[in-house]
Amino acid sequence: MFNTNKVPKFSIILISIALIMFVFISINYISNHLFSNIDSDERIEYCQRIKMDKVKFIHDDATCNIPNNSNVCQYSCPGWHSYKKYNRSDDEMEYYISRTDFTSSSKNIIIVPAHASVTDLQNMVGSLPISTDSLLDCNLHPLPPLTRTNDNSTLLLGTDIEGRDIFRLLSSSIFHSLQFAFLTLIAFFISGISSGILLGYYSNQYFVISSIANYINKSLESVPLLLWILISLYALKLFLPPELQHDFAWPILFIILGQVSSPALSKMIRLKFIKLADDEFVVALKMLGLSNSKIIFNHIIPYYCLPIIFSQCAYIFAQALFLDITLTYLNVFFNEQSIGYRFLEAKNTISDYGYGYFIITSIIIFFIIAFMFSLIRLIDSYNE
Amino acid sequence: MNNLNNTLIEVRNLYSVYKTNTSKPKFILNDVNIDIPKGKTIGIIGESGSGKTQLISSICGIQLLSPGVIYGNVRFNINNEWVSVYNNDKNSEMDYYLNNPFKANKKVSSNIRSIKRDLIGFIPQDPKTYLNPFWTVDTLFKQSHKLNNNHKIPFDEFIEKHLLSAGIRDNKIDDIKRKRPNELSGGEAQRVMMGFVFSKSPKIIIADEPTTGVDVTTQKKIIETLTALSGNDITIILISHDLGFLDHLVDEYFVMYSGFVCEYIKKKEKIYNPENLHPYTKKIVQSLDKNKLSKNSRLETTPEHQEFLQYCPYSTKGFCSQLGTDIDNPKITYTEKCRTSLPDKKIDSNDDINSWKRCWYEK
Repeated sequence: MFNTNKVPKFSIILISIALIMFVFISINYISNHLFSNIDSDERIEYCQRIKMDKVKFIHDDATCNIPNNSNVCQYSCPGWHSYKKYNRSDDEMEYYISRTDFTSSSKNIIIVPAHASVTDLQNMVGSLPISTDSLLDCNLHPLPPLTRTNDNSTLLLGTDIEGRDIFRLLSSSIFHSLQFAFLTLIAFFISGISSGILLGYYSNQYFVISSIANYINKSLESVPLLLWILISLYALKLFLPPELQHDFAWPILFIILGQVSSPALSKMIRLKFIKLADDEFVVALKMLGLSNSKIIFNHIIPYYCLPIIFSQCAYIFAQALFLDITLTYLNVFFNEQSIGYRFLEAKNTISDYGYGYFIITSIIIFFIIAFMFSLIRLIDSYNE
Repeated sequence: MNNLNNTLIEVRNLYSVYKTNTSKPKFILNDVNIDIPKGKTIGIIGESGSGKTQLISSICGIQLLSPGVIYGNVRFNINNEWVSVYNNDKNSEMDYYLNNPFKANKKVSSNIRSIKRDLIGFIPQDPKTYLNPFWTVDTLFKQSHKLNNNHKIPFDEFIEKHLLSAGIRDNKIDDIKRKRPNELSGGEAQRVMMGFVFSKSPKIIIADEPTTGVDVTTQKKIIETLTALSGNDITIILISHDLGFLDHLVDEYFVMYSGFVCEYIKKKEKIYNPENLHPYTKKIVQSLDKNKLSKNSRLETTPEHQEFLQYCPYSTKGFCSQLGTDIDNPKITYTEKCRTSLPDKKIDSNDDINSWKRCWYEK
């Protein structure tokens, strides 16, 4: 079936890498979402024993009384220093470290609750002397790639500043975006094939219906895709009730994308059917008493149209992912779970994350797209 | 109404017409009225383009050329009950359809599908193009095994039995089973197709020019295979332009010229005595013996007509000029009647077995 000599090696390498990546991401996604039911936004609890000699104290009087908001300063608390909030693993309360007994060599320090009032703080209410060995630092995010967590698992790509596992986040976003791309694909597939069959195989039998289908296809084709998307966005914002917009606007948009792109597939299927409708091979099938649906779905589509369908679907798949990224990146319309949003997030927080997140997101997107185009090249080789 | 016991297929006023680039539609079949008897081997003879294949396709409810329509009455005798192929036509509406052919109802009765599936076996001219190019012979027979055998006998036995019956040698079967149509030779493809057709256990076998493009040895094998089948209560319809091939097998003949069935010869022997035959049949018979075919009476190609002919197509271009001159006007070399009206069936007065021809001319 395949002439392996004609298959470009680059395609095979790229597809293999992308497939391995995909399998890896799939395993991660499945294990997280189906077996462990872990939310991709969940913060990774990673705490490290504080190395007191490396703690750098900054004189920050303001944070003592408003621990959650260090930018707002109302009270002055002389004698108190804070660098970070520390969690005590036993009761998970936040404490501020008192300066009083704290030196890098001290074995014990006195800590007070983070939410204590100014008066309580000044009177050392709730203060607790604890060993410096039991002090844990849980604010170490973003963590670098390949960090081993406290429960002995490895964070492949590390965490972001909010403590989310980047790999889990990306795999979840990829799957989320793939779901929408599949939605586009289904709309594209159903619409393209049905109209292709109608225009190609039944054009003489159902002349009026096929003429209408032809007219619709021509109309869809004549308007640029971007305009269709913008019109759809505007229409969705205008007509879809606000409470439904969050859940339904994004999927509807992707279905519309599949629908407006379908004439390309329809045209190719139509040509194939017109060519084959009077072919001896089809006449023979008719002579054997096969129904039209069997001729179409058991013979013509699997043997003659499958490469066309595959290559077109690969294009539309890539197109759907691009749309996701483009709309989110341009801040026109976005879904917080999609790969496009991760891309935007990475771009916006490039300094916080380091370049790693941005690069990783770009590489994953590149591989998805490369996979699609390599698949097309592979199918072309098959056709040859 | 025909005798249900003897007639298998009844065809009345059958027309096949398709749209052309010109304003006038082209008629491929023109007023075909024939009865195909049960259990006989029938030959349909005529030159290329005379409408033989279209006739068979139309009987099976298939329009080969599109956009086009078929209208008329075709009925199959299934267990002594008539089953119609076309739903549309009443004879009274025929004239209307002749002028407005594309207004005829294009729907084909759903019964024809089961008839084709269960009763008809079709052997095409070039089986290579008729078989699914992606399927191996094995896959092809698996379909038939699933549909027709109900798994009564194992598949290996099933395929072997039918390929052997089609004349494929025992030692070649394993090799052929793995091949795709393009890997088969012409003769192999023809016999694989025959084996496939036999596997359906059909009541009617239609073979469209089965010997075209195969060598004499293969032709002989095909003749032997088909001869073995005849007489088994199977109706065989053979389409060919080769009278020599048909002569080995056929009981009765239909002769076609330009979409028009011009003669029915019920008794095969009659063809050896061409005196009373239709002038076109006479030329075909004479063409077998080149010595008898004089330069002046050579066979002419089918005329290219675009519209429904309300006169004998063989009278065009003076093909019938040898018949003599019109009695009233000696300058005209063919009778005016032939040029103005379509001849009716004329049962041979010298024949007591109901052969007929459609020709105005009488000696």
